[in-house]
Amino acid sequence: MKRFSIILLCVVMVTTAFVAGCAKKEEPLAKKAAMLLSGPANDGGWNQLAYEGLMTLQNEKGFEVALTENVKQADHLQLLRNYANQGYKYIIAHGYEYGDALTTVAEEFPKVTFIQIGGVAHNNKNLNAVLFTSAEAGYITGVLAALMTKTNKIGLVGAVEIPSIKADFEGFKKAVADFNPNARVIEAWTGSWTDIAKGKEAALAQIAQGVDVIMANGDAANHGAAEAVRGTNVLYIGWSRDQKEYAPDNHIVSNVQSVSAILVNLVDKGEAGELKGELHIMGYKEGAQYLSEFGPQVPESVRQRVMQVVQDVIDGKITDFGGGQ
Amino acid sequence: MTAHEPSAARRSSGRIGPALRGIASSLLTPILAVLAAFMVGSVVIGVLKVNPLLAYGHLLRGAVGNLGQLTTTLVSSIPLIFAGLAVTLAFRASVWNIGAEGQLYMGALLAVWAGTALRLPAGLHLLVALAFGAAGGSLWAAIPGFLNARRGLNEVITTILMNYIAIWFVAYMIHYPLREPGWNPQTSQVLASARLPILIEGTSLHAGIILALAAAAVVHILLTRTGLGFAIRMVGANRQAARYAGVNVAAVTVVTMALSGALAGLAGASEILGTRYRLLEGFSPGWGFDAIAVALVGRTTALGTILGALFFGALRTGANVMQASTGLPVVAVYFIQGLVVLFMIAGSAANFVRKSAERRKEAGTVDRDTGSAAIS
Repeated sequence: MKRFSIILLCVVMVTTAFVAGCAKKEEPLAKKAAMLLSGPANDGGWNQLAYEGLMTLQNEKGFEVALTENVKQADHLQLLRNYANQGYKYIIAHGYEYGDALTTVAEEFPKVTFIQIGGVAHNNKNLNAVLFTSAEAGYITGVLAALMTKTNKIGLVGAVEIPSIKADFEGFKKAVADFNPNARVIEAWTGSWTDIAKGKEAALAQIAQGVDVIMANGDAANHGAAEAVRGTNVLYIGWSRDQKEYAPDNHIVSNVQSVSAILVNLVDKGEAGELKGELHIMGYKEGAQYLSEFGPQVPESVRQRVMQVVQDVIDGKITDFGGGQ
Repeated sequence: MTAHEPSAARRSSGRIGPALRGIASSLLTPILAVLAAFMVGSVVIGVLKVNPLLAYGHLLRGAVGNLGQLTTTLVSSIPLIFAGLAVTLAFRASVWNIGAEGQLYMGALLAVWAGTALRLPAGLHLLVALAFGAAGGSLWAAIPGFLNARRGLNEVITTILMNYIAIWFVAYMIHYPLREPGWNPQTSQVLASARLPILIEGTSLHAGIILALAAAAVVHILLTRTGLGFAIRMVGANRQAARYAGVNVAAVTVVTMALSGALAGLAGASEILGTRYRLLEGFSPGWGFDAIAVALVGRTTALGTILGALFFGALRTGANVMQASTGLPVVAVYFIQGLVVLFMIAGSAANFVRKSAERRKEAGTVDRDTGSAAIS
């Protein structure tokens, strides 16, 4: 009897919960934006950038926003459909891995505007893609590294070998070859967006080989690399956000990427009815990427040469960044 | 573990029939565990300033609320059923297959290769791709099986390490030999002739669910009605005794691991051929590891594994909706998922301890029963 009443209680609770859940009807809202992130929103890198972009939409453009972090590939379709069904006007997926799911779901919900950042999926209708020009940013930071190294050994620490980071590293190596042909670039991949220890190991191994400038591009790998250089004379170049706080005494510059600028740009176009499912490539010229402040170690002459390269990139005078995008 | 149920039932003089009593008592632990997890979880949700009942309403609605959600639940259960069966089968031979994750990666890899590179008529192409998937997982699992049988290497360690090799090997294949030309590091799409058909138009539900249920039936029959199954259970109960009884323990271990790996390989293959059609790095959210929990919750029986997989599939699918609808941080969702597993395993363990104590107490009088329980 006791057992039976427990089961009965359970049934009653579940039913109540079910009815409560069904009672709430979702009304379609005009200014709603949802975002999917494959990692945590506070990673200090790629995902945090996107999160800050979403917050900009909320605070400056008056959007109601929703966020799902740590999204697994198996859940892409379901989550995209959920948000589309709930009347979100813009759905932003932050990474190349959402391409297939976005293509499918964009077809099913023609009135919803989908945006893929860091990928190329677009359909000339309601699915837009945005790419950062990683190669030019790699080139620009590479120029600084080439001019700052004294040991002529430069380290690159990356996370997962995805196209944007590879393009970044290719551009970086091209710049080093152009500006300091004697310098050697040592590359390391940790294979993980979240493993700080591996990033540190990779950077320590490079320092042991005599590297005196390290550029890191890979979310948590950056934390690890910065931890490895703190307290040494090794210089640090950050990526994604201004990462001065990671290693204040070693940081000489960061390539800052602004998802906020991109989202504001796209949503403004969307609200004006001018967003038509194109592939947008954005970088220094569009203000979607820029250099942070230089560290005090960087002499005036070097600053001027780097800024000249930035200007040349913006003006289209330099176009060969090692073949990447 | 369920085999001592009949003897327990025979002793009882309750009004419910023995079979019903057995089912009820094996369902009670999971139900209580879920209830306990949701109660503790509701405290956390309350702290996060969301009404727990509302949140659970979204969870339930998200799991089974309409045809779309129900089919999503079923689809996400498919790899869990296959991988759960893989762990269950190995466990019955007292082999811990912690390598289902790596095996399902190898299965997915071979399936995607067969699905993209071969040109065969529809139907046959699908069968071949599935066979490649099963073979990929099977070979990958046979290696630790062989090392265990021949060299006595602990399969827990070797299967875990084989996971890393598989995941990185697959990553290499995706980035280089099998990479589709273009921006994304991914393979090209499986040809239409090798895809699992969609069962209900307008949903994602594919024929993999039928294969998964069939696989469960095969595992059940294998374990309960065949000589090989008997040998597997004998090895599982007592290796020494099995050896003295003339069972080739080494061969049974390798064969069990190979079959277990084939099931795990099908988990990967069915996901690729049924829903994603191409392979990307990190395609599995950890089904191979969830499978261990699924098998334990399912009390390492084929039917229990299906129920366990459906439950975890529903939890996962519903949790996505709950997160999106209530704005709960995703961590809270994982917290509840973890609690359910924890309470279920605690419940099963408590049950197991109680039952073995009972058995010990009555060992003198019901020798025959405990003897049969040991190898079922």
